[in-house]
Amino acid sequence: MADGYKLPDDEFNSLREYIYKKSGILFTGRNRFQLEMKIRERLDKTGCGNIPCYIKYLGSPGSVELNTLFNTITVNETSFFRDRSFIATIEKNVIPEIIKTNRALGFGQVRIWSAAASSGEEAYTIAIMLAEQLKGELSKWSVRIFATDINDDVLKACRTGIYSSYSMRNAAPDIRQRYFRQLDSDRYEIRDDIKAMVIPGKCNLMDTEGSKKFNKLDLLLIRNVLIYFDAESKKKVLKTCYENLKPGGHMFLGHSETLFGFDNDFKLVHFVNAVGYRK
Amino acid sequence: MLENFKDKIQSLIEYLPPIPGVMNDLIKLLNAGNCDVREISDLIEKDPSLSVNILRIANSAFYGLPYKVSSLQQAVNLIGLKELASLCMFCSIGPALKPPAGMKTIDLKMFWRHSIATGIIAKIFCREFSIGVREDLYLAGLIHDIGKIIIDRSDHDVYSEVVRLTYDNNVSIGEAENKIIGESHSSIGSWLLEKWKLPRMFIETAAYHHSVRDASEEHRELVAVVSLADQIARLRGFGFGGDMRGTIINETEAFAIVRDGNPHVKDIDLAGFVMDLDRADSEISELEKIING
Repeated sequence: MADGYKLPDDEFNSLREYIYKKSGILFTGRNRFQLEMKIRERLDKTGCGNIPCYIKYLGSPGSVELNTLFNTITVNETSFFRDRSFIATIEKNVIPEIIKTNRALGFGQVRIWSAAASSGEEAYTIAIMLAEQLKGELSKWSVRIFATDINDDVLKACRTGIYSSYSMRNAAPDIRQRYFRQLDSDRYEIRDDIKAMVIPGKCNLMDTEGSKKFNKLDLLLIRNVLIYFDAESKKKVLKTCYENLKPGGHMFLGHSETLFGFDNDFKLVHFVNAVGYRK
Repeated sequence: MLENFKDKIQSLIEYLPPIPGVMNDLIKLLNAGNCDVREISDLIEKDPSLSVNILRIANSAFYGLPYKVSSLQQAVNLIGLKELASLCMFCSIGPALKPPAGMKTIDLKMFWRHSIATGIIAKIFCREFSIGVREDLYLAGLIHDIGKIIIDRSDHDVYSEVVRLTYDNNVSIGEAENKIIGESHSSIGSWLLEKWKLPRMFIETAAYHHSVRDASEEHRELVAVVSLADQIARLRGFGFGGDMRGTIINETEAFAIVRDGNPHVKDIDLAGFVMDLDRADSEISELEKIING
């Protein structure tokens, strides 16, 4: 139904501006088709014939359409080594820096928080990348990767550490071979020492007190989550994020998310096709 | 570090084929600052491929002209003489530096893509954030790294080692050059442009795009804009080299200089600007076709 649906330029521009202002998610010429594919369905369901009408509907009192729209436009799918530029940035810049800094301090300690971790693919991906770079030293380091989510079902999956081949489609064959045990034709289990680096737990990001224990962080991943908070809550969550990072620690948001327009103390760092925020 | 590399490069610059006659005359016009329509049209018409390319660019997304132009005269009326002179230079530089057949070189396609992207990003940046420097930006972008081609031409094996070092150690190309050659593409580029007698702003762009404060007051803002665009082009992957390091753009010297003259720049949406740069793709590929002949 939605195939080939195209918005006139002025309607696309007003919608993308509205979404950017409300969520910090930026649609560009490159991912325009994704928005166009999905918006048709929302226009049909809400009975709005065009974008100006739909924007009015989004802002009408008591409307839950904004949340539905966010759910529709953010891809909640997660997999190992997802988002190539983000992975390259973590691998080439962030992890080497974490190792270097902690080694210089004589610590051999790493603390990372994957907030809204879903079934844990992102957290285990980071664990594998750390193992790749620490190599023989790995057993001497204390690595804690907190993988939290508000949803018990996804956390259960994270605890088992068993994944389908589909969620590993971006992992190189030698990574699959070295870090996973094949259980049957489609199920793979992550290696025990990698599993031990990840600590799954329930956490509601709005619970400031509960979030405080994920502190002294070298790295914080909070991808495609902030859009679900209103401005006030977002500010509160960002404050916790900032406080929980070590000075020099990095925070990464979703691929097209930015903090523009939100009061914060982070430094914006541009990497190659990825954006990070540094304390 | 290599001994006598500087001498080697300087003698190479000495022996590089002279720039084409048309280009030489154009440089004179650019330097004089008051070109005459007839003079420049006559010049361009001497070189049929040049006239074709000028009209191609004039009609591309790059200018977004209200209607299609079919004569040089029309192009001059719409984009101005000085701009046209820069455009001619732009079209002549690629062919002037074309390596002899069979010579091993760095990836020249990537090199020109980065240089073109730098000019276009500089132009979009100035347009979007109302910064006064606008003229000659794409030409300044095009020549900013020209020293790299010269080093490579002088000793391809040495420059391959420089490039490899940036990939292996994730360092800037400037650091790698200094380590291996003891000289940077910035100074080498400026020697060439001096020899070609290009206007001062281009020589300074090549010389100081990695040390913006050293530029003269007159051209500092232009050099800063090109320097910013150079970094943004790298961060957008329009690039060359293995330098993957992150940059806090609004803490760079170049950003500070642009902000000094344009205080509103401190509040711009840099993340959004950089993410949204795919709108430059079609302009970049259009100019690439022309540069690569």
